[in-house]
Amino acid sequence: MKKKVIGLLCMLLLLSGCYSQTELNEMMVATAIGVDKTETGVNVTLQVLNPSEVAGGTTKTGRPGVSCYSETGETFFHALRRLTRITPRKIFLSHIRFVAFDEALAREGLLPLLDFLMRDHELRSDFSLFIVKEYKANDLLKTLTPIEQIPANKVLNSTMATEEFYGTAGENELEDFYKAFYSEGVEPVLTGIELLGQVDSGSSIESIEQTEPETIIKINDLALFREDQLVGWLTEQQSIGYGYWTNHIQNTVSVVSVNDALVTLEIMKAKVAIKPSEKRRHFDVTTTIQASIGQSAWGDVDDLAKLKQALSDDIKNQMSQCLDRLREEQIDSIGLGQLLYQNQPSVWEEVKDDWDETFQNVTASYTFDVTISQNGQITAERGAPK
Amino acid sequence: MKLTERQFKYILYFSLLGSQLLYMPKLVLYYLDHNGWMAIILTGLFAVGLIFIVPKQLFETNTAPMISQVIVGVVIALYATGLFVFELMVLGQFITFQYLMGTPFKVLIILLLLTVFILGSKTLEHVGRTVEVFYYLPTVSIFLILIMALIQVDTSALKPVQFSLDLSLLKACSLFFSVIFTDGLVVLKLGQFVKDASDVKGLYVKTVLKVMAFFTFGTIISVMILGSKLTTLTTYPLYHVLMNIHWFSLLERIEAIFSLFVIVTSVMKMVILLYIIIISFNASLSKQAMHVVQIGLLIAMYFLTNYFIRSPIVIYNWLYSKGWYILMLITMVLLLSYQLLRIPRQITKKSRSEKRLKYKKYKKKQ
Repeated sequence: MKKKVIGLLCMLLLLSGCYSQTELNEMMVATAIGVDKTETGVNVTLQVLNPSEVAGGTTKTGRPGVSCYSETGETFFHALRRLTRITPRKIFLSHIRFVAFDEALAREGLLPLLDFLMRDHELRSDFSLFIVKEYKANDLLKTLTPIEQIPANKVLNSTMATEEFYGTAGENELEDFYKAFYSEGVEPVLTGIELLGQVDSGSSIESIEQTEPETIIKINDLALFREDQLVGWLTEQQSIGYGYWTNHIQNTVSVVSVNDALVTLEIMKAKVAIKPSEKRRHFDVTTTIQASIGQSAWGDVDDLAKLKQALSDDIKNQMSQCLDRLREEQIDSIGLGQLLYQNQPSVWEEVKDDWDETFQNVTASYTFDVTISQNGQITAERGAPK
Repeated sequence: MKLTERQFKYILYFSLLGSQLLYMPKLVLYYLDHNGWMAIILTGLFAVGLIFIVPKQLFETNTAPMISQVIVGVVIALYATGLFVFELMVLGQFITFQYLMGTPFKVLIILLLLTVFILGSKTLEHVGRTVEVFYYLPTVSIFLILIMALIQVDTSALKPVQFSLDLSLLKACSLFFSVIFTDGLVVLKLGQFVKDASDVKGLYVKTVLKVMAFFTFGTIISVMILGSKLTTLTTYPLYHVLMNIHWFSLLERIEAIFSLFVIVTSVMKMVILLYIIIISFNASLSKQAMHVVQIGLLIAMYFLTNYFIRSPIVIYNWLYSKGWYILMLITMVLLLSYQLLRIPRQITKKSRSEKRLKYKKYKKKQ
């Protein structure tokens, strides 16, 4: 009997499962956070779900799928807590898809802000980080998108599609940034987001009721960082070049000119092997490409060798453009220093202290192994245009 | 009270794992960067080697005089108390930080101590059977993590493999040995309940090697997924690693399985340590007396834990700066005290030969 009583008492203590519960209708699910610089600190914008609008069923009222709340504070955490004064419910951050920063904050340094994101127990670290080019993160979060009712999902889906099919952007999660920040011989990069059109009217529902929305969210090129500070942007071609250097290209296209005709090639597979040469500050880059013909003005198979050469030249151009830009900024974002550290640690010990200056004089020699494995559904030779 | 060989092996296994899996990679990566896994292998081999200097009297028939037994008993009891308090502190902090944010730490400690009391009020055989049942939880978890992690690892993070005999290596090995493997040396005391005590050393070696392999693997995965710097920065690196591992969309949030496993192993470890404290004096107690002692000990644990409680940042900084050699010294005291159990055999031999001489002299006189 005594044992049963003790057992029951313990069960009462242990089975108090709903001790600190929060019901779904008492919380506000945040999907994205935007952080902008202000004179006194930061301005934090939260994009939160309107559950009745995004859930299935017939309860929709035609309002946007999300709402935004903004508040300023001395620090990121301070502003978030101040937001509770204006939000109708408790903020739930576990489902955020991304955090966006404006350029001004990024130029000052992101680490103090990321510290909160890393430290907070409620946040999972599998969200992406973005930099909003020219505009405020607040503008991005307020912009409504057609098709996708939740703009945060649109941003993520576009980024994934760009990464998978074009190669200029990538999903850079919090830990990727930290890893690059703390690793020797490599600097972090983040994907940029640009707003096109009438940014002021992007938040109105009328904007997405038209065939062409007044504001469009565009996944831009890559932002370069020195430690945690934004220093510049890569162009579209340089961003693709970065993708090749870091083996992040899954699929992309190259437009080359052969015999005065434009041929568009789809890169199905790209693998880049970089080897530090015995010559100091020189790297041997071997690129293996598997491509297929996506569009061609004319399909002369005799010129396949020329096509391969043109493709090699194009990729080489993208890679060298990227390297030149990085050398100009003295930022090793492609991790050549890390490669040196991993393969020639004694050499790295000698150069690591002034690697930024050394990187300026880094050279690379490129070798290509191109296979054009597919030609689509057209095989007949049409010959050159008349 | 008797334990089968398998039960003893699993008790050792649970004691060596405990809550250490939560923070273990930090201890070596702090000093040795991404090459920290080498220190784990070295430490594991060292722990295996140490079994040869542990006298078998610790877990076989004890022929030592009372004074040696009392000294060894006190040292083991103090050591086990320290381990218990540390375990309770780490587990309490982990649960209040990750799951029961609003629960006061003291309430959680009371709950954990109550659980330990309920489990500890059974006999050692019950504990043995319980660990037998739960044995597959950590093993399956680790196996699952291995398969899932292999998909998204980056082996280049382990390069360059550099090994140098210097102070950093000594610090890393000392800290890792003191915090992780010494528990096994304390739990050897339970070897006296194994049906065939001559197998204890062999079981210890096998378990230590297995745990060493798990820890090495955990550290390597942590380096490959988080990188060495981020591993040392995060409070619970392996938990953090698991938050990042997913198997397509089929298996996600495996950190929840891991947490369950850590809580179970850690509570079982505390039960085992409670037993060790009680049996360290070889006193035969009635069931009621045993329960009174257990309650007294658990109340003491509550106050000790509340007295020593510090935030993880303070604990780690202490471990990295002074803790590594203080803990190593304490471990040496433990090992030296074990040697006291050897001395009596020599004294007994001597006294026997003296008695024989006296007897011969007495016979001659007659």
